[in-house]
Amino acid sequence: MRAIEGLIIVSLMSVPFIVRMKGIGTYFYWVGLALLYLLYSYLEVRRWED
Amino acid sequence: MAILLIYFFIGTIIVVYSMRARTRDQEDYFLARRRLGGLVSSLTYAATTYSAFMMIGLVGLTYSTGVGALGFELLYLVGTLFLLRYYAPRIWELSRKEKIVSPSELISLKHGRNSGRLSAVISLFALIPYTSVQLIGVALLLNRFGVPFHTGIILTGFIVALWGLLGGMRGIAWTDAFQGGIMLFSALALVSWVHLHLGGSLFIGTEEKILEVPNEFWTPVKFISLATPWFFFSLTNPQVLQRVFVPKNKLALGRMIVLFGSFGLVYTVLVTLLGLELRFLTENGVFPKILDRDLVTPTLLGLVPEWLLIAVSLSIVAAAITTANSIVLTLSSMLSRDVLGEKRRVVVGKMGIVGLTIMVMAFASKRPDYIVELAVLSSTILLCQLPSILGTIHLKKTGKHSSIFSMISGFLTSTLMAIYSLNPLGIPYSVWTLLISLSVYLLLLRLER
Repeated sequence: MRAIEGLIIVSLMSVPFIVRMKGIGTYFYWVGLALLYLLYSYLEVRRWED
Repeated sequence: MAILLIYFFIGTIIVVYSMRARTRDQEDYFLARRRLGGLVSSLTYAATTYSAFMMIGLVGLTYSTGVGALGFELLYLVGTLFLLRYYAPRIWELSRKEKIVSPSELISLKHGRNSGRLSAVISLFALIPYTSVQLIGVALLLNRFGVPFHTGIILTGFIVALWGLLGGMRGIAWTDAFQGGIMLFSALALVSWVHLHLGGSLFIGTEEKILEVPNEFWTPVKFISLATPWFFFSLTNPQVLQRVFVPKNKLALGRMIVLFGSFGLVYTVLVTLLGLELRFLTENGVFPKILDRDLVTPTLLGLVPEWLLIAVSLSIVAAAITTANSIVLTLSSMLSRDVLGEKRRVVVGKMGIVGLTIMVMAFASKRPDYIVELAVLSSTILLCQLPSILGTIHLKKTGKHSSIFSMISGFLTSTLMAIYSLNPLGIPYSVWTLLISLSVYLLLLRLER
């Protein structure tokens, strides 16, 4: 599962290269994706118990 | 100079305050007794990771090559979040259970002492030039304020050694937290000033090539080549790997990961925004056209008011010192425990800090031609340790030869391919390093079993 998650995130980060993204959208795409992943990480580590 | 003295004074007070409890043993000295809270852990992780490269190198890289620099830096960030979420709890538990203090002891645990020793030697080779570059950066910056270059090296080396020597991990972590605040505040102030006073407009209307990937610089191969060592940075670079050992509990570990991610995202966005805004301003004739990308930030600093010049310069000094003293402390733990086999006496660790700082200062003073190349190569060299680290975590039974030969083959691949500028089959040498060290590890592991 984790390996698939890793592949998905790397693939999503590579999308601008694959679709030859242009303009301001490239910037917001990468920042938005990183922000979403940070949020996803937060939701997971919140469940960690001592 | 007065501001530098105030900075030094505040940092030293923080370090002295952190010393109020007597240092009992190496675990206490190198890992702050594994009792750091989430916030301090996250700030020391961030300050150790983000060096002076961000405010000088990344601003210039974004300015001259475009938005691909943001993608590269954010791929590092999400890669780190991904790896830390998965591996940090396992490494944290293992380090407590087995009383692991130095990162190379993780490798020794299942591959034998010689593997750990080799990992320590490779780390020393890779990170001493990288640390020297941090000192050179600070000395060159101080030189602009009239401080002679060699005096700058001595001053920076003195701060690096003193704070590490007196405070160990606790002192360094607390000063990192203070300096991380300076880095974030200065970046925010500089971006705001550029936007308000030079009239940036969030680079809307900027030349299309700068906002598109791939372009002339950011080809897919270049992207993979630069991103591969950085994606695995959290596992292969000992100074950050050791920071996974220090949070006081799993909640603090989780908090460290998320707060580091938040710091990294904000700092990366600010720094790359600055690079793109300046490019936009160049196209509109407001900011001069800069051909050498390392001169973009220094040129901007020539235009800002004095208070901002001091704040940003201080943030660059802070970024370099936090990276340098964290590396020196970690290398000292590896030198003492893995190379010399001394796991008890704190004085050996302290002598290591003094010796390593002198070595870094000597290297920085000489400024050999190849120093920048070696510094850039450091993360690629350290990739050769990845199979052994993953083997420690995933495998119940391993072999000592698999680890030793995988590190040697990876090390030789990275250095030789870098020296001769080889990229066989169009595949970057960072990927070759990973592939070869992993193949050797798996092959020998099969034979050893």
